[in-house]
Amino acid sequence: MSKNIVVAEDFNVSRKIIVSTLAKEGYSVMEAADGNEAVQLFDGRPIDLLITDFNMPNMNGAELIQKVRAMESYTYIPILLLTTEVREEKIQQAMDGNITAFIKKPFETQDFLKIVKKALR
Amino acid sequence: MNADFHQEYIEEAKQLLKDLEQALLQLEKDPEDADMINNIYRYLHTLKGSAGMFGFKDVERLSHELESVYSDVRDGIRQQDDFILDLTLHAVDVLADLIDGKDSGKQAEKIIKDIEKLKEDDTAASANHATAGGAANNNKAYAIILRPEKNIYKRGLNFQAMLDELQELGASEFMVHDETVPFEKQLADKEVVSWFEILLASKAGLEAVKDVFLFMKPSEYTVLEITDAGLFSSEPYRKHIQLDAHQIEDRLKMVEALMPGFLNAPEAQHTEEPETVSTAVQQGEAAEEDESLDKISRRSRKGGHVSVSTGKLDQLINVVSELVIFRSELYHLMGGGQNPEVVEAMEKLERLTLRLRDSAFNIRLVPLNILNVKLERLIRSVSKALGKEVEFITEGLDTELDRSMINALEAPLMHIIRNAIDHGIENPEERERRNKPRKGLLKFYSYNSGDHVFIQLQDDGNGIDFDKIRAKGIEKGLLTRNQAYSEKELINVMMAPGFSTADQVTTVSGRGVGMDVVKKDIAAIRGDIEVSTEKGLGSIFTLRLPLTLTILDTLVVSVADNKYLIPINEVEYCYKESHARLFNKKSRQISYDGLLMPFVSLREYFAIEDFPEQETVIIINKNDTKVAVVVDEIIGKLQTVYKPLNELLTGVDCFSGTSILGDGSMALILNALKLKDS
Repeated sequence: MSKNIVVAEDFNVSRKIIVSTLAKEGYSVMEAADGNEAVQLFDGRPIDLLITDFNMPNMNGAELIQKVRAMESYTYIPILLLTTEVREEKIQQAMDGNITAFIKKPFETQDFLKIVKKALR
Repeated sequence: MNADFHQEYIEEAKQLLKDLEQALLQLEKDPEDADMINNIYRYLHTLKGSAGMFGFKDVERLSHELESVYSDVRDGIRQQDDFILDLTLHAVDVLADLIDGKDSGKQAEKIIKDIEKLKEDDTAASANHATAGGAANNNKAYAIILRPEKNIYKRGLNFQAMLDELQELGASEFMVHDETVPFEKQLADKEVVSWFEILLASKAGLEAVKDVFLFMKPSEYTVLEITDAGLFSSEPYRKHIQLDAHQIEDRLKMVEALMPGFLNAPEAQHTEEPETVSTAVQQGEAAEEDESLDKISRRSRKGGHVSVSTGKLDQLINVVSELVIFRSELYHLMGGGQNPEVVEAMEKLERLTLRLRDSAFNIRLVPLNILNVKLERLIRSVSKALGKEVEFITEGLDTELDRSMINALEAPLMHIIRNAIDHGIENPEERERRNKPRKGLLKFYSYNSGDHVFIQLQDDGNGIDFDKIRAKGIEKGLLTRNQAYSEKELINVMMAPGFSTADQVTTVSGRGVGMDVVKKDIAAIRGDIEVSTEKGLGSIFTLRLPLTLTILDTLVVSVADNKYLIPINEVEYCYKESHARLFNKKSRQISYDGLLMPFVSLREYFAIEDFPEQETVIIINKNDTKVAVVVDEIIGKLQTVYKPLNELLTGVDCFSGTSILGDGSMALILNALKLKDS
């Protein structure tokens, strides 16, 4: 069975790239343009991984992660947070204990897929 | 492909699996049995062939792999061993799940990998053999120290998966430190409190090993390559753990076992070790021993989990059950024991038996959350079909129950939920009119209490419509028109066979079966169901289930020369009464708790003459329905193992099962409520 991944990213081009990269690998991907949209997707269906941006309108990544972790079915799912190099340290401190790993933007496809694959184990 | 054939295939495949399992167990007893090996091969072959025809891809692949293993065994190329046997038995379970349409592809994949690895190992071993005496293989040895943060799972990391991944790299030795909570429990609770020391022999390079811990923080893991025996007393290692001479020697032995000949002369290193640990030695040897015994437990190479076939588990449970019976027998032989020391020893034995029993049963327990996804799916599809909005809240899904019990619960729970959404929760418009939130609430919670697990399903819907039930009951001839009925009685009618209040047979809840089936299903696993409801506010269905299916505390009673058992949780009150006083009254009723109630005399029931002068009355209370049963005498209390009745006797519903008494004789377990009905 293919793994279900939710991608939350407000920047359309980035999101499309991520989604198509994952889809090509055979993952089944659901996309959301902000935290609000993303949280709707967590409605009890099986989801294996969340990849989310930090800065998003309506509901940001931190809030989204908190909401997802609070749901019993998703307490332990892996979460990858997309960040830009500059801000990483600050966010890292803020998100400690909640996320699985960071993905720095921009990323190499191979590195990205390696991290996704590992997170899905 | 015709659907009938499909069904036929499923039946046939299941039978094949049963035969296969049987043959495997036979083979375990006699590993040399060539006929059995042949049979196993044949079963797998048949399974594979027909699976392909019916599109069971995973079944086909898995049985193909297994078949190839057993063809090697048959041809004497491979020796059948415990590992292969366990793997195959496990595969049988997975195959059964696959045929049942369960999504076990992942497990199948894992087994196939194991088999592939088995074959690889073989070729590697034979290759090594060929170049015997050549340079030691190019394995490297690593020492790994893991100190995961307690909340590592909350970060979405799967610690178990990481250990599995590590294991795939090569043979390893796994040590758990500070195991204040059993390691398996830590994994199950997803809260890691121990820290770990792992010795790994692998062809992989240092970076590849570190890669396993990609998501761990640098502070959480250390990977050191072992190049010589000095590592364990070197600074980087001592930063994490200070080992004394014995402990270092232990580790060197482990490395030697993982990679024979890798560390050439471990003895040579010994000279320097005592210095590094002199302080620890001075603190006394007792403390040292304590530490190595209590804090460090060595694990097998397979890592934290040992998977056991359910067959083996059942075997353990059987032995434990027999032990329980034997304890009763021993007690019986001692005739109550006058010697206080013997009594004390008996009590100790009892405590130990109970503990053994509890731990054995614990192994079979699985958390309820394996049902969660199914229930959520059901709720979504049902509420959609009916145009209702439902919010599903769960609590206590980590409550554990016997695996077989959870399987048995699935259908009744689904039925109750279907009913709650169909009959209980109103349409969104209706709810708004009633000042309720548009979204109906369905709450599932479960908890442990004593020997029981409770599961409650609560909805905030309309509650049960008693007028409707009364009308329907009268229509179906289950109730009479001019009588007043209590809510309890109406609920009982609702659960009676042939009762269904759906105005029309809907696709959702009206399928010709009703709550009676739920009640029967629950009763079959010795559980109760209770309903409370408030008109306009909602209903609560409470299921009360025994933790285990097979062990029962009973009261032993005698009637003439026979003994019968009554589950002790059903016994409310017992007293003695003279035969004359009981039977001479015309009304044939006794007065209990301010009420007159009829009694059933077992002697009469079984048509045995010669009543004793003194009779014993037992008031049985099951689900608040009371029955008075008259027996000769109470013999005592007995913890016993429940065995279902032989199929030939299932028509006899005044007994629910049988059991073996301490003296080895059989006794029937009374189902008192049925005595009253007849």
